[in-house]
Amino acid sequence: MKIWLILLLLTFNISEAQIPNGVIIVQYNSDWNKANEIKVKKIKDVDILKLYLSEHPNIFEKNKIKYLPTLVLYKNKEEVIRIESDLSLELPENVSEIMYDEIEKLIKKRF
Amino acid sequence: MKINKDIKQLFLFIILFWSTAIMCVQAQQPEALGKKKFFKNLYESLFKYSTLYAAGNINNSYEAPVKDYFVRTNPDGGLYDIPVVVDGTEKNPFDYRYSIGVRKLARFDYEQKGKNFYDGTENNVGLSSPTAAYEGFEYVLNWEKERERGEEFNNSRLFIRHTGKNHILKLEQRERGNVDFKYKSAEARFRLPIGKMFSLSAGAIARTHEKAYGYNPVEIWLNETQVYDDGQGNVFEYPQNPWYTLGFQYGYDDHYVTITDEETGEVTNDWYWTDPEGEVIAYSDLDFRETVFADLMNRYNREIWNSLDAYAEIAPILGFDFYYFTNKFWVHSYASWIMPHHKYFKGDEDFSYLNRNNWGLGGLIQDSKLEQWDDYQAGFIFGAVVKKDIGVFVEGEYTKFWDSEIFNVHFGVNYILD
Repeated sequence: MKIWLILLLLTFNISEAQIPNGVIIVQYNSDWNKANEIKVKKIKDVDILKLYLSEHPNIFEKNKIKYLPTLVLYKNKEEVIRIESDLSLELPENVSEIMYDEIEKLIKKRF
Repeated sequence: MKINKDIKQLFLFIILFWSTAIMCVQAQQPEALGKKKFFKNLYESLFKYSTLYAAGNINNSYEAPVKDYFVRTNPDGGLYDIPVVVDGTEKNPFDYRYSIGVRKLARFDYEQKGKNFYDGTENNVGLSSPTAAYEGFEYVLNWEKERERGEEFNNSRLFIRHTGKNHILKLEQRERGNVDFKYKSAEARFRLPIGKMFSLSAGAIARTHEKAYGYNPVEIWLNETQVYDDGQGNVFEYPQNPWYTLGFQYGYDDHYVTITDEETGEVTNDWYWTDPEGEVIAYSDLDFRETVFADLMNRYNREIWNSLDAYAEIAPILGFDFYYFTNKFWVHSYASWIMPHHKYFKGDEDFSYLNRNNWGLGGLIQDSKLEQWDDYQAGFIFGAVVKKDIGVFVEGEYTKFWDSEIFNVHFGVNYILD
């Protein structure tokens, strides 16, 4: 029983990082650029998160976000792909397809 | 006849597979769907990410490290002439194994594929843990034939599971020809995820077993007794089946012999034994009991066990999964407890596992109570990259089903030198 408690405590202590585990799409943006956000379709087993510069400046800095909006796909906290906006502050038109292709590749690798 | 039975079972399995798949796709998409979309969803649920494979291997069979020799009487002479020395080392044809199959089973993040290709020998954690690494349909359908030390066997593993947020449905059939193991199970559980790392499950499991676990026919046969009362207050209890009568049942015969030692004049009496063909195979009762009789006991047991129908029982099951993964630290532990409320619905209950301790002198003890039992399956996987170049791991699994207990534990440390 003690071993279980120690393991659980250890596990929860380790899991306090800011980007959660698993496969996750994070859309980094700012309040003033919400018009250029894209709507990410819900995908099975993939979490979707929106982060705004005004609320999480540290995460933006830590993850070296230079362009807004930026879409990043993470797997277990490691960056898989990053898609950044251009000078028009818009993400490329095919951003969703690129993301889904990468997610497909990640899922396929597990089988 | 056996092939017909196998084909029927396979057919039933395929029907169950398809009907479950169709039901699950319909349940996921309750709104009216066009046919095209329905079939697209069906394809994606069933076959997307699956791998079809056909594989085989051939290798030389086991060869004894030391050769065995025996002597044969010289054909040109008699028993006391120089004999012919013959190499009697057992030589087997090459071993082989070929398999065909289709699989769609997700690996947990900590599991490596290990090889470039699937060949049917994989054993993933997902086959034992209650919760899968992927929500949806998963399956492994593998058939194989193998030859080992000259003996041919058929093996198969048919595994289908559908995992949803709140349910686990599983069908499994296994056959290992070289250990005469056959097992079928079907289970349905309600699943309660608690956070992203932990889940509880509860439901029922139906399982079959071919062997009458805990029932030893020859021991019971040898322990049968008869009582004789001489009418003068003396009661004698004696074996109804003296051990040597088993030999008679299989065509062996004993012959009384008197041996006189010509040097000392000592006279001893014994029985020598002949096989059904009349060949002498033992020179005394003790010789017979220590050699041929052991094989006869096993033969008797096999015959009685084979004459019994397979068993099927149902029991409640509880389980949990705990899963945490990062690239540097992971823990996965799981357990299933098949609770002591087993109900047999196929097979003769007298010889079932519920009566495993109820046999004694004279057979099944009268008014004995059926005895329930607990079965378990549990696993624990832990890995950690302590520093850039040091890693530790512990992996283990324990299974106790009826009389059989299987466990394996691997542990170790890796240190990479720069």
